[in-house]
Amino acid sequence: MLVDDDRLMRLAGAVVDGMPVDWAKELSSTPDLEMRQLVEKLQVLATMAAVHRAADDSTRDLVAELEPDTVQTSWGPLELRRTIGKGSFGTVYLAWDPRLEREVALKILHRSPRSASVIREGRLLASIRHPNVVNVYGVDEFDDEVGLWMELVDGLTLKQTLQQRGVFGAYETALIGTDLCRAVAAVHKAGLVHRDIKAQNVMREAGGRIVLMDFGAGEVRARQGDPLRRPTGTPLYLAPEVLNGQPATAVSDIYSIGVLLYHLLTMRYPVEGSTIAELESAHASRRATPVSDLRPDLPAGVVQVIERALDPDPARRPRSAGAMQQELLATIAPAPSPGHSDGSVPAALRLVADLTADTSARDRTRDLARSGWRRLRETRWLKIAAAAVLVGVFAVPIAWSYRDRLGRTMTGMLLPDKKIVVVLPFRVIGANKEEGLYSEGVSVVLTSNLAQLGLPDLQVMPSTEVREARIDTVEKARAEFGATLVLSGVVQFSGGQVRASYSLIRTADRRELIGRSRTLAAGDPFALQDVVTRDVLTMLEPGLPQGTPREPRQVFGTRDDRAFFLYTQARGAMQNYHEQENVDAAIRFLTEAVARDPQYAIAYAALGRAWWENFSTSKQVTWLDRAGEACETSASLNPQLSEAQLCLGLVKESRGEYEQAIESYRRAIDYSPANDDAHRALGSVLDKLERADEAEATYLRAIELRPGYWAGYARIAQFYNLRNDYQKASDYYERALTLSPDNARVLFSLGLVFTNKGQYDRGIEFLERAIQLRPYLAPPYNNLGLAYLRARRYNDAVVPLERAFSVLGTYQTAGNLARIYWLTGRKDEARQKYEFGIRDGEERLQMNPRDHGIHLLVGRYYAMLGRKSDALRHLDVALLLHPGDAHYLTIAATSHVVLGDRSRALSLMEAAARLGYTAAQFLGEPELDALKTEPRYAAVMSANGPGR
Amino acid sequence: MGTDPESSVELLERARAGDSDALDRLLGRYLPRLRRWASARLPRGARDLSDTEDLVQDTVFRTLRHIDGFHPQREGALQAYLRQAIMNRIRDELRRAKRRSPPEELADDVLSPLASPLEEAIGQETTERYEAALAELRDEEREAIVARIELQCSYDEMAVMLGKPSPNAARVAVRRAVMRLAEKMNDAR
Repeated sequence: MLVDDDRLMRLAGAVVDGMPVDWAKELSSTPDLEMRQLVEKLQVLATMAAVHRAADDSTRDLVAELEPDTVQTSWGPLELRRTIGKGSFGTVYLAWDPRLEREVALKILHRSPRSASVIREGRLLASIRHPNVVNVYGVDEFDDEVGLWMELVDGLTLKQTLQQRGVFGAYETALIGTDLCRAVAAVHKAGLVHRDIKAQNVMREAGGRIVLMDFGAGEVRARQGDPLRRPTGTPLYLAPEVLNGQPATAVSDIYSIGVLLYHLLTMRYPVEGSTIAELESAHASRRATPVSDLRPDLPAGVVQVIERALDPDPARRPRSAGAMQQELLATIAPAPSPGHSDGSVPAALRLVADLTADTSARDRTRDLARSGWRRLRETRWLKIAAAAVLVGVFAVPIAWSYRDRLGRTMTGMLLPDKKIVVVLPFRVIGANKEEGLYSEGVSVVLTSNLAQLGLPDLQVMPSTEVREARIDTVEKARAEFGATLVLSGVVQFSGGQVRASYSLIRTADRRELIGRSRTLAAGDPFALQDVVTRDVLTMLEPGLPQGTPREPRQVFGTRDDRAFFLYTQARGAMQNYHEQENVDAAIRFLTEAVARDPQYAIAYAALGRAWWENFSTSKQVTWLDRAGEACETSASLNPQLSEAQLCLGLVKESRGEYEQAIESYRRAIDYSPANDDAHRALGSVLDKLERADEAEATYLRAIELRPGYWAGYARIAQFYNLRNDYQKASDYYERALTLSPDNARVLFSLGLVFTNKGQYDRGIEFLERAIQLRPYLAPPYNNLGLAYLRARRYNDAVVPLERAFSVLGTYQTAGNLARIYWLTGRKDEARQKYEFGIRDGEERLQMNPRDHGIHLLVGRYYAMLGRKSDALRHLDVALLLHPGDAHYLTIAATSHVVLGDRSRALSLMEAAARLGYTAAQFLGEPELDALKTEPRYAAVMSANGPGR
Repeated sequence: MGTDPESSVELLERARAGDSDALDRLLGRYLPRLRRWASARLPRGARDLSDTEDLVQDTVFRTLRHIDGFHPQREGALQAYLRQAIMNRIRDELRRAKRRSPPEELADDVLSPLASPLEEAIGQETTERYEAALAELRDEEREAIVARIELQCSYDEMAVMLGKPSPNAARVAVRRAVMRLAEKMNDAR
């Protein structure tokens, strides 16, 4: 007993010290049950500590943290700091390389008799220098262990992004695919096959760079004589021939790329199975799900490329990664037609440039030397600009008069009446981190330029919203925001030049109103924004009087080209303000910008904002003070500048000066009614102070100031919805719709409001329209199907519910589908789906036994299958955990009806009615019809009237 | 950063008296740690870091302002108090997020709410059991656990927080607290 106490103490000590413990060993060497349970609890506590230790590191693999690692502290010349990841191949550590003086990722492979060839392959890997391939610094062997050390990539894997944000869009996927193909082509060129391409092995760095990682599986092959002969690589990604035992080849890598793209678009895999045997059998019988089944919205070109890559016959796949890349590029833009160089081109988005150009450092240095700007070699921004002479932006004054007046008038007539513009993120081909930052900045600044002009009838969607909603196509812009115009562009930096293509597209028919391609000398990247803004403005405002050219400062805030460029970069960096180094970068850029132009008011405001971010993170007052100073400076330089006031507001709020903060926010709003940030800030402060009435008034005022902006109405509608004021919510959503008739978000929300009120027909109307605009998401189908069901239009409900289930098979979609099958007489299929729903629901309850929503629905499913005790168990728990919800009570009532307990069902109905459930809502649950003959039923229905 | 820092308890008293510099320092001490802690408790993907910051900062602000009647004797107590306040706030947020829609409907944006990192690691049920057991411990024991296991304070800091004569004494105390917690978790089956 004493010994055991000591042992427990020792383990407890390890837990509090954070030292690794071999828990498996400890548990297995503890025969006593109670003791073992105690050890288990200690393990849980050790896990908790590890989770909290790793809490702010989203890029590190949490699982690896939880397992005991070796106490190894160094390997060869590298110091091991922490375990980052673990796999079948070995372990990845965060390490310090004192020779390179930087942190690296070090992969130490399990001991294997193949060390020599691993090292050889590793050296080949190290020879690959490609922006989209992880940079391997070296490979060597120490103490019988082979290790590979490489650059530490700061970002998330595509798998993590997929899990956090859901499926990717077609455009984005095609772009990721092109970068990935380039990477794989580079690997193949070095004579290697990757063998393990999967979503977990591709990372996206903060600035957008796609990086192919982890060649680990490449080295470890099945041991000779191993009876299982399991192929390496993740089975779901493996080409069928490799699964069958053939060696991996370049085209099997291509297959894996196809699987990855498929997975990003659908979250599923083309061929699925839960064991290797099932998978092999599925491949053998060619049981693959075509990607267009799951994503009917995909452009045909994308579908074709992916399906070709997934062809079971290796000879029919794209021959090389380079070929696949070209095919993907063609889906982004049609091939350039001959005979057009610069100048307007009436075609959809054009892709100029030699896309395989490699912007090597060598080229840049050469250009630099040529131009003689040696000292600028060190400056970061020039790595992007790739040297050369600064071309005066305003060499050609911004003259609104157009030579071709006739042309302008004509194009003016092509404009839609409502001008709702979305600026899509400008895509930089082959982006490295800095170029990526720049491109984000371009979109942000363009948006801001257009908005600041304050042209009547012109609404520009804020770039933060565009980004948050992940809008990257014309269709999405139209669906999400009701955009009538989209501005998009593609940029490439190459060998001293900037090549760009951009278009202004009318969304109703995808007609391109302006299309331009240009090659600009490098060192003039901001000229791009100038040029684009000019073109767009000219397009949009043909009526501007001649001879009143806008001062460049008015449009851009400064005359200093470089300062403007730095500001652009800083704006781009601040889009990702969560990450400290981006904030630091922004501060550097902006500090330099204001040093160059001390009158640059908006840069001061941005600087204040960045410093405030630092304060927000570190809580050190010095940052807040600096922020305050910068904001004050900005405000004094330009008292009408909204951003300055917003900046001041944030500082004051942080000092607890809520009232003063409100003042500043109000001013910010006054100076720039279109400034969404300020509204959000004000609304949220008021909400924080529990001043709901004033928050409401703010939102109403916002609408007054900008009555043409649909989002103002939608915002307040949401406010009302959350407070259960359905009438006001639907009124405001309807108004939002009149301003933005094709806005799927509003349509969907409004549809839900009606459905919840019991007005199914109206709800259906809106949900159907929402679906037409965004046909690739499950929720609208599910909710539409439910609305039909409740409206008793059973036949209409089947297709949407089937579609919802096929896009997203969960306990909810399964149960809803089961219900409609049941109501349309397809009892066997209904039972199958109820079984599915029960399985999925029970699984989720394992993870979260307190989720009353799941309990409720699973209870109903059991009831439908006649399993009374299971049903009651779940229903009772649900009502216990979540009492007082009329809808819950009604669902329980339907379950009891089916189980034959009419009295209980009626009691539940009565309770729901007392909580305000209306007759219309009861009628939406067809199972209750069985109670029609009961007098209590009639009493409930008449008491609550027909409902609104 | 200076020599012997004044205790948080003193800072709290001064902050209460209206000393905004003291308030700032207090926030500076607790916020980074509490924010990190909160990010382990919030569902992944359902919130991003800026939301976490607001929630933590906001809760701490409010708590410190309305802290009348609570006179912590030890730093550890204040810290545990703040941590509990945030815990409650997180629970409220999650409850509120799940409120309105009927269970058969699917919300538009979040297709499936993900578990918090902690829940992913040890499961929801175990997390609840941990919380329940933690609540049953004596104050000093709870503070020790919260400080070391959750907030990752060093033994030096903990000596100050728990009023122990040395870092080693703090270590002994938290080790003992861990044992008791394990026993409590075992009992609660």
